[in-house]
Amino acid sequence: MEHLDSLYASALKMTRNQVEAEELVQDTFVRAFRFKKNFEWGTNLKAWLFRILTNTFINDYRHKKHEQRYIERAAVEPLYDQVLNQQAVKYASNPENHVFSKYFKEKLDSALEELPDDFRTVVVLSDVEGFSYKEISEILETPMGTVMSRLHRGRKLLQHGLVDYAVEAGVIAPPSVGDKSDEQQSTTDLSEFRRKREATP
Amino acid sequence: MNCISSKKFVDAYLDGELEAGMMLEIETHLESCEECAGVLCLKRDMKTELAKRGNAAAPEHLRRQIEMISSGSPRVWWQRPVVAAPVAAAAAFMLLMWSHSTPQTTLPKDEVALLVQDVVDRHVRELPMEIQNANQNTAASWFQGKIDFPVRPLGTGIRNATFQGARVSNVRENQAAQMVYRVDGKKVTFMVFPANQLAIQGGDLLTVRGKQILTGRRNGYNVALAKDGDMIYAVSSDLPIKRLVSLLVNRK
Repeated sequence: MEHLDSLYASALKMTRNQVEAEELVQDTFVRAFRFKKNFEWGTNLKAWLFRILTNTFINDYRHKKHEQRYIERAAVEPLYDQVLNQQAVKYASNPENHVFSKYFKEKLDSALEELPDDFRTVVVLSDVEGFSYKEISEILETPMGTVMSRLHRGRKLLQHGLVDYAVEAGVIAPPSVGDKSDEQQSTTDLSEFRRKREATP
Repeated sequence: MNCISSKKFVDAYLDGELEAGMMLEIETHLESCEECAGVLCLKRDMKTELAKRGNAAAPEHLRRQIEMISSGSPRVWWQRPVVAAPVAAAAAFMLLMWSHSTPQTTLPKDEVALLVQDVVDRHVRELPMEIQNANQNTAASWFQGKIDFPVRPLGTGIRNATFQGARVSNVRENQAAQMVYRVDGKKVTFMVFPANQLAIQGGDLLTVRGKQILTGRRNGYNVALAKDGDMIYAVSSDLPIKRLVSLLVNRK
């Protein structure tokens, strides 16, 4: 019961619907009690419950057909650094400019809701629940490189959404072509980076 | 470290996933690069704001349901004299009074719509059944100890009906038994939940063979409800409403 609030908060973010979130949490607990003999005492109970929650969500709740198209599109669309264009960064990092920060906070929920499920789930597990990459990898039964990649891309999409909102509201000007330094092809694979760095004399 | 590497690993830096050497490298770069420091500032703000989203508290009725699941011996919360559950039960009463020419209660119609919506939502969702490959009487017995009221299935008096499975569910704030059938080739969801102290008043309600039944429609699906004893029985499907009424009337 101690993790109920966390599970519910994440279920709300995953399903974007209160009724479905409640059902998802109920299903999670029903399965957890049914399979409680599978839990190894002394290991991370919260991570185990979240594994059931995310598996249940992925298998039974998300709208697969629509979602798959969205994921495919999100995975191939280039995400330029205009997402964090220089103007937005300078504006937000200036303590006197509270407007963007306020706007940014107000729109964060909408931007999060618009993320595709796979990306949103990783962002929620990391930034809302504070799980480590290794824990997320175990919860989703996904390689750590995939977790990092989805997190990196999920956050970029989130920032993309926030900048779009800010541009629409006239808080900042639209990013110019010159802001588009494309880094989307580069990976965020930490171990690959380490290997390359170690190979460099 | 340059700006490209810094931007690539600023997420891992914020998440505390870098080892000490790389953390030092990125920090050194951030001290000397205004743009990367700005990116870090924005990302840190976003991460801090997202962390606050984890503070949503679970609703009290959900907490009670989870407590019941975890205890394995459900409490009689829905029968308590002062509980939130009567709101849903009162909504059910409103639905039963729907066709009454002079409504006797001030409950908002929204509550009625929400109750019908809940029943239809349970019908539409393809949630896994907790018991399958069993007959409906076995399923009804399976609910014992999981929910705190006796469940009676549709019974065998229905033509062209086969039982598919059952699961514990809820309607508004009430725990409910959900049983799924296939009738005339169409999926039918049968819900049973407590009516508490409600009594059906006479009037313009549809009365078939002495049973008063109300009907509704939501998202293209029909719903029929009837009260029997202390329970409300609801069926939802895209079958014609006449057929749904016959299911409730012929229920044994």
